[in-house]
Amino acid sequence: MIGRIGLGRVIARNLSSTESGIAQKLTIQPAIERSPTELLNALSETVGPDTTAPHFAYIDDPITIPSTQTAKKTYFMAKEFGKRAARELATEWPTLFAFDRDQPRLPAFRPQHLADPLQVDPTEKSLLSIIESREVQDACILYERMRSENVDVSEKVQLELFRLVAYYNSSNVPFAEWESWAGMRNFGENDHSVWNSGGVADLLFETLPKTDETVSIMISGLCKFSDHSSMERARELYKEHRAAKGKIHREAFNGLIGSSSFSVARKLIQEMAAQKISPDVFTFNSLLTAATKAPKFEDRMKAYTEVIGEMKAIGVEPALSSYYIIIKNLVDSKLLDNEKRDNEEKNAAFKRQLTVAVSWLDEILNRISTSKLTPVTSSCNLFFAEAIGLLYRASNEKLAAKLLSIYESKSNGVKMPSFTIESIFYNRYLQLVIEQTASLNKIYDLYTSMVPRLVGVNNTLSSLIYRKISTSSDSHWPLLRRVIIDGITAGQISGVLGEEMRKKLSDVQLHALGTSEREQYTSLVQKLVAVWIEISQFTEEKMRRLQRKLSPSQISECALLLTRIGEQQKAYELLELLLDENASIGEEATVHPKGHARPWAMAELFEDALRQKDTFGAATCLQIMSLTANRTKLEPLANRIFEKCNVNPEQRRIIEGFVRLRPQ
Amino acid sequence: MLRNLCSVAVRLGSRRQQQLLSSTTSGGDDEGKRPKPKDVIDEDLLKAIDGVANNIHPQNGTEKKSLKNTLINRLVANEKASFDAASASASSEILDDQALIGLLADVAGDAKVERKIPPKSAQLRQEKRGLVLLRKEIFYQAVQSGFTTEEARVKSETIVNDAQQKLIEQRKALLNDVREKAEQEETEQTERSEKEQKLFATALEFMEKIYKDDIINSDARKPVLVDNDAVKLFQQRPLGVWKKNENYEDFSLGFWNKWDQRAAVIANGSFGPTNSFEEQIEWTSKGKQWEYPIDNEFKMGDEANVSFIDHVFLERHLPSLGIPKTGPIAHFMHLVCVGLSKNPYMTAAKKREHLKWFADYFNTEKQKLVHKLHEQEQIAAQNAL
Repeated sequence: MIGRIGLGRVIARNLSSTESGIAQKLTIQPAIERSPTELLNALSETVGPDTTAPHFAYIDDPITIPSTQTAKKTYFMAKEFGKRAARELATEWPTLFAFDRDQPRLPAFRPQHLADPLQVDPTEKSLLSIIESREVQDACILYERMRSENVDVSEKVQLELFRLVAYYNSSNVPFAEWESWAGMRNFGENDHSVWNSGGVADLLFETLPKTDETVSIMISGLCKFSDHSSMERARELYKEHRAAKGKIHREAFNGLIGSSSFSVARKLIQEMAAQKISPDVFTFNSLLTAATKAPKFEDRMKAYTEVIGEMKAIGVEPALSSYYIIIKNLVDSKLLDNEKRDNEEKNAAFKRQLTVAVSWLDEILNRISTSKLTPVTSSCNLFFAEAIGLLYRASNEKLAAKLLSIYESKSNGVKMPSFTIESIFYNRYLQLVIEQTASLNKIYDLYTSMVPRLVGVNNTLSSLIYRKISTSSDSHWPLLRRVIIDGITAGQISGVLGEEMRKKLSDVQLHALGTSEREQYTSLVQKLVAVWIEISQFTEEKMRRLQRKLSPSQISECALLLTRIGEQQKAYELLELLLDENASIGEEATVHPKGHARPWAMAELFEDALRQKDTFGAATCLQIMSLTANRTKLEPLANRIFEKCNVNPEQRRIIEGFVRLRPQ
Repeated sequence: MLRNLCSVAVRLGSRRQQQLLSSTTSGGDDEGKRPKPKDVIDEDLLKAIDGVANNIHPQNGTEKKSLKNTLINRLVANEKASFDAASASASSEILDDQALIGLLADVAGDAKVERKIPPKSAQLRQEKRGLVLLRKEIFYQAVQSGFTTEEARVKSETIVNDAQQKLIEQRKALLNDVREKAEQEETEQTERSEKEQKLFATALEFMEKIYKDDIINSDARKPVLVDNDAVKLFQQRPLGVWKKNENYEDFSLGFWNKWDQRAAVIANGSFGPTNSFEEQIEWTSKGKQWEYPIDNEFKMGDEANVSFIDHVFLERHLPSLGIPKTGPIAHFMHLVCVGLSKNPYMTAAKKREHLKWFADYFNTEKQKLVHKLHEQEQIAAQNAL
């Protein structure tokens, strides 16, 4: 039907074009010029990231897919360092890669060493090319070499170098600005550096004439890498230059404003306005930073509203980083600590401040939800992390969901680094929802959509879910199973959470599970017990570091789980370990000598053995229980064995004798 | 079955003796045979025990003493069992004795089990025992994290005390239903260095385990909602420094702003491509992949500016080169042009050079010679008929 309509349309169109063809001239539109990546961009935007797979960087052999934050970092860095090593090899020994007859010849596959500042010709051209490649320290070395060899450097080149060294404080480009190595960019840590006094920047500043530009660059550099003395110097320079009727640039003003108190900052912006210099978003960010120094909440609030009002009045759109500064510093930092809020008054103040912060955040979210978000400053992406932190503190799930939808919307071009800040963001959101919601189904859906792709499996999250499961009146096998499986991959099984796993598994009502679920339960228990036993058997010298001996409580719980899935034989083999002295002594020990079997687990095992009329099982349980119980407690148990099981007189005599020999 | 029972009975007998022995030891009757606490427990730990005792019973001297004795007895037993080897060779690997962690877990487990029969003193003892072990654990972990022994000792005490304080506060907070984990994290982060923070977290985790009984699963915290009457952020008076109608100069350093922008874009780059198209975009921009749309003219160099006309239509050059329009040479040159026009490996300039060479070769003398030879051939052919 549709095909016929379609065909009809085509024919009709052809006819009409033939009829009107005589009157109208057919024009072929010229092809639209597309850049080489436009097609790929369009495809990428349509397809987006695969939400059913791990991050693209980890798509590889499934066994290597990392699930915790640490494993993600290790994997990513290992990959990146591998690439860097390969590139270094290709640079160092290009002849080993001489089979290069590709046409066209692609220089990207033939990495070159950077020019050595001690080897290159000491010319301005070499210096400029090093400056161009942002090799700050190399440029400094070459400049100093040229000076020592009395090679003249023109003022223009000196100015270029001065810009570079002032912006980067005579040090190499920080990790945060490494373009091609994402791992180092996000995981690398630079010390917060202070102004390198007496460095090449200072030398160049003395050499170059004191123009508006050079003084502004110097002040900006001193403010960017500020400590007490560099700030003093910057202010001094500003005063001197103003006295000499000079005028400094906006960036220098921004630096000075950001490191002053709000009252001084106000004076500075008045001077800016008097000199007819227009502000930009960085100026207002500096002003907001200055406002954060006000100790009183009311003063800060007033300052923030005034600054935002000013931005609105002159039509400068606040960046996300502007909101970040406000959100981060609005509530008194002293009140954030539970312990420090030791009286009612402080609690009330905290609540009041938090309410204002949440209300403002709501206003901000309303405002940004309609606009396209682009990165303006380096700290723009921190807004989302800070906002979710605030909403977590305020336990406001509704606003958190709104924040999340803005972050994930297509109009948002500001993304947090995936495995560091973004992971914290999602983790906070997930924890907030888990805390606030009562529905295990909702938790399950959210958990499976976020862990481990966005949020690494972590102990806090797992224990939160275990706690939620135990407080909930419902049971949710898929959620429990998923958390335990994630826990296995994240190496949680040998710690406190391993105990939690056993507890939760023994709490599961097997009869309430479906057939396939029961199979899942069985295989999960088998897997866990097998792993625990295997880890306990790492008794060889080189493996002992990884060994986790079985504790008696663990053995009793495992045995209980095994009987639940019908593996009585294995369970009693395990329980035998508790009675085998050699198992806990010497280098080959697999059982921890301290601790006791869990009484509740043993009681259930005992009951189970009685139900099965298993004299051997019941006797083993009795023997294990005798390690912690006295004769009075054991006698009724022995009597129950006689009642339930088919005990012959000799066996009866042995058991009675055994119980009699126990201490009172 | 009987065999089993008998074997059980034999084992039971031997176990019983051991039980009796151990019970006498723990009863503390046999003081003389036991090693002195100082021989077994290191000084740090003894100090730590002092600290605990002081903390718990600052006034009551007898209680302090009895607590100290209990702790020391416990620790001596523990040391005997599992830490002899560890203290003998003080290598860091042995220091990280997993047995201790297992023991801690057990202690914690015991503490939990004993909830059902809660004699207050026993519970208190369990907690104290846990604390001492915890101090030791933190001490070892601190040593492993690179602190010196002295630092580690101080750290272990302060951290465990802090954690204890924190937990007491936390329990209070829980009872009041105002527990806020996020806040703790925030303040802790500012107060402690990363290393210390890690140790603190471990301490708190163990503490929570030890005091687990008291941690009540509080209901969800009450949300702080938006207050519509609160001061609005966007509807306040401006500073009034810059006026909208006045003209201001964009007096900027330029490069500074541009580099800040560059840093902002890089900082926003996350962890590289998130799907294979983004990866291809990255390869394209780095010059590792042929650009779309794919054709065979990618990076052709100078030839990219040469039209196919110059490559294919070569006969138009012949008249200017003085090649005759008819005859065998013309015919031959026509074939040369066809051959060259089909050659994709030769530049247009090279092709023209070829033609020029042929033109030079077929100079007037050669033309005459060829003409003569051609005529002779034709005559010979006619005669042959």
